[in-house]
Amino acid sequence: MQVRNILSNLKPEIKTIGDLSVVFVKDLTYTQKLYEYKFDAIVLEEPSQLSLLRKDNQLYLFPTFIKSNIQSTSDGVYFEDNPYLILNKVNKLKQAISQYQKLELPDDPQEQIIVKLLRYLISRSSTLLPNPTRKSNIGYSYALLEEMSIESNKLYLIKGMNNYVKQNYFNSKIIDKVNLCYTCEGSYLNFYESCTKCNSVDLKSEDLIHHFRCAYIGPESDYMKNDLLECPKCNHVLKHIGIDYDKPSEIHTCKSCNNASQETKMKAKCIDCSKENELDQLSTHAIYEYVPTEKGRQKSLEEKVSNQLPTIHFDNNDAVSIPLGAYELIKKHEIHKKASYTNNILELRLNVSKVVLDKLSIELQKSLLEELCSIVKPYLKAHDLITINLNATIQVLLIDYNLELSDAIADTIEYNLDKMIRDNGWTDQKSIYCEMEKLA
Amino acid sequence: MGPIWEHILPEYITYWHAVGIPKFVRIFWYFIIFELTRYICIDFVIAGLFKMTEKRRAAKWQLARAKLFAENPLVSIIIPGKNEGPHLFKLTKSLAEQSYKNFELIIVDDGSNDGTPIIGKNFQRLGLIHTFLRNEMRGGKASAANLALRFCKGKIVVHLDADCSFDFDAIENIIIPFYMDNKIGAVGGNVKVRNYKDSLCSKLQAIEYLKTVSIGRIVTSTLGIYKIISGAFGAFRMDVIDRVGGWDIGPGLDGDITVKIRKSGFKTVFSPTAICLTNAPAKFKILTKQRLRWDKSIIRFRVRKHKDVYFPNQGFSWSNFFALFENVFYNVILDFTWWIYIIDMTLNYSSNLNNIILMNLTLYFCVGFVQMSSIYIFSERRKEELYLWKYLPFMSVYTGLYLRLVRTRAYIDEWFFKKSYDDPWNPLKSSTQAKINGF
Repeated sequence: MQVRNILSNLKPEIKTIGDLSVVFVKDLTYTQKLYEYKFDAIVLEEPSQLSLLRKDNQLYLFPTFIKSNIQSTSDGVYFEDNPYLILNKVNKLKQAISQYQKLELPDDPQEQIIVKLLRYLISRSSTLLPNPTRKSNIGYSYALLEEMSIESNKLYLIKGMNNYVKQNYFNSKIIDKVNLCYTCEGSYLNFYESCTKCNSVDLKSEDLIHHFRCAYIGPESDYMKNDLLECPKCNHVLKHIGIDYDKPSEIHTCKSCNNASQETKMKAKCIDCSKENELDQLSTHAIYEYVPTEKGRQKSLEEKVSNQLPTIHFDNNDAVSIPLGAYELIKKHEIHKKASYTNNILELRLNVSKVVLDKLSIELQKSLLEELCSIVKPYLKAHDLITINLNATIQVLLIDYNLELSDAIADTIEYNLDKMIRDNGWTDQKSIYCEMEKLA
Repeated sequence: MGPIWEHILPEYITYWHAVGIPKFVRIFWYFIIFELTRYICIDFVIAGLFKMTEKRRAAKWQLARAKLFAENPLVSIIIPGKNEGPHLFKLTKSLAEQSYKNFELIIVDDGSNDGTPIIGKNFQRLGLIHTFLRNEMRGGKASAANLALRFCKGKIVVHLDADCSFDFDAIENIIIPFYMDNKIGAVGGNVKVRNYKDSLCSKLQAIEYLKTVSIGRIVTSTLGIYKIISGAFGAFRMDVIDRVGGWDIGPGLDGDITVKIRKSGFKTVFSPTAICLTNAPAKFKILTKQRLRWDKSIIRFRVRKHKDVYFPNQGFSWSNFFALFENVFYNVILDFTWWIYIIDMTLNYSSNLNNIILMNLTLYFCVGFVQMSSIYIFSERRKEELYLWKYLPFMSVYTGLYLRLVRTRAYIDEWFFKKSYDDPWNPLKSSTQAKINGF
């Protein structure tokens, strides 16, 4: 009985406002129920439910209002004492989204997101703007994009958007640049000056004073005597800057190790992970505003986008990099048709040392593995396959190789990858571990 | 046949044949009393002594070298200067070849307005130099060198010019003398001309450097009156340079600091095997400016600032007296004496001036060859320096006339008008204060 009451409380409620029917939703967990109704707009009791709405392929475009006046990706605020305020906007949006009503979304999840995003932005004559927020680890969020996507890594989303810029679906306009922690990609950094020798923050910075008369040069404290500036070399009192002396530069003295230097080492400590980053270690990312282009508008109107695997790249003569799922599928298939090959089917697994991976952020790990794949490819035949699995292992499917040749290739690849990693200074120990398995 | 062979030469030979020794001495008193005694007699006596003691010195040198390498002290090499960025790469390459490795390299950029700060900082990042310091406002060479001193961690400080390059053992050879005698406070290096093939001007300077720097300084060092440690290549004990308060403002700060070190009771010596090559001015116009600046500093420092060495006072030392007196006598007094000699000849021998000038040229020419012979004995670059012998005839005019005229002008400018304080080599703000305070 009690459960039934709760469910009835959560049940969507339809109201007629002017000539429009508006659905009032308390909990979108029961979205299936909404499909049973016909309505023109949605009013959400809970703004946090916008995320569920945007992910829903049938509801994401509907004019949506919320009851509280907080920043959100809704189309506006619904005031209970003046419900008619939304009418004008809903009518306009209805007209704008009508062009998409009969269009299906593509099957590929990534394609779906971009098409949904384009349709939403075009129907609202809007752009995808970054919002500065402390809640985001990179300091900015793209609320709409994040609501539509299941991916939570913001840098990954930005990378994806920049790919769509390259494909001319969007124009980008730079808004800001963020410096992120080398390890955790956090933007909550504390910048500080430290000693160039011992890294201590306990520095005393002073002006250097040059006494013209005797060419003595030293920090201000050398000259301080009874509240006067007196030259320690010639005992002359310095009276007039520009006439008796000047201050040509600064000197920083470390109170820990007594090291004197004109330079300090600038560091950025990540508040989230406590990593002390050198400035050149920080990864800098541009934050853009994305504006749909004409090509983007055409894309949003496409009937149904063909289901392609966007991550497959067919280079001219190189082996093929494919997603892990596809790799495993093809592997099974190749093992099955082994009889058509004269030689063996082998799998080469290349593991990067944990010492190296631990030094890198997730983003950098991905970049490193991709780079390693690109180095491996030229050693393979055009029909070989390569992928990266979830354990950061590079898997290579060697099709139709004799054992002697496959061993030689494995040795060469292992040596070259190891050398590349060592030459980059990531480690001076063995960095690549190679395993070979004969599959068939 | 030209007039020389028909008239002038026969007349010249007949005249000197008839003159006789007393009249010859009367006419060439200047040459005989001053030039011949100083540059031939004394030089050859000292050179002879130097050669005779070669074995003993070599043994002492080897012992000192062993002590140096046993201790292996940190040496701080400082290079103060303005707009020296373009020279830094060659300099670091030259220093990287040194047999003595335990040194730190400190560059001070004295308010450069070219790419020097970028070059310097990059070199520091690349580890080619240890410390790069910069004064945003130019303060002059002395303040830049004093700033470098503040950052030196070494026991010995070596001061270099950025446009110099060095023999592979130059650093080793300039610091070995410190291990021969603990009263040695500073050691001067042997500066030679690198660009001697560039022009006649640089060739003549190359010969001059061989005479005055290589041989002249061996002589003064042996006599214990060595009074100028070249700014291009000089080494100082850190405690000694600290005690004298570092460098005072120039121009002529290298000579000034040598005197300060001598006055504080330490010896200064010359190390002929510590070879440094520098670029000399290739044009007479630039050379004139450089020499005017150098020569003015003799009056400013040796005559005015350090005049106390000439008087018997608490810190009086005969060696310091002779060191400065020799310098002032052979440069300033003899320069004006030469003009007296010219007036003497013009008034008393006006009818024979042709013959006198020709004989003077002949004498100086002969002396030049004799001097070059002594240089040939000492030099470690004999083959290269043979190239210079054919330019010796020009030296009579170069040293006998050109350099004398420049010196006279410099002495008058400094003595009467204190022109060294107007020299843009130093920033105006420093020169103004130095002038007001009589430095």
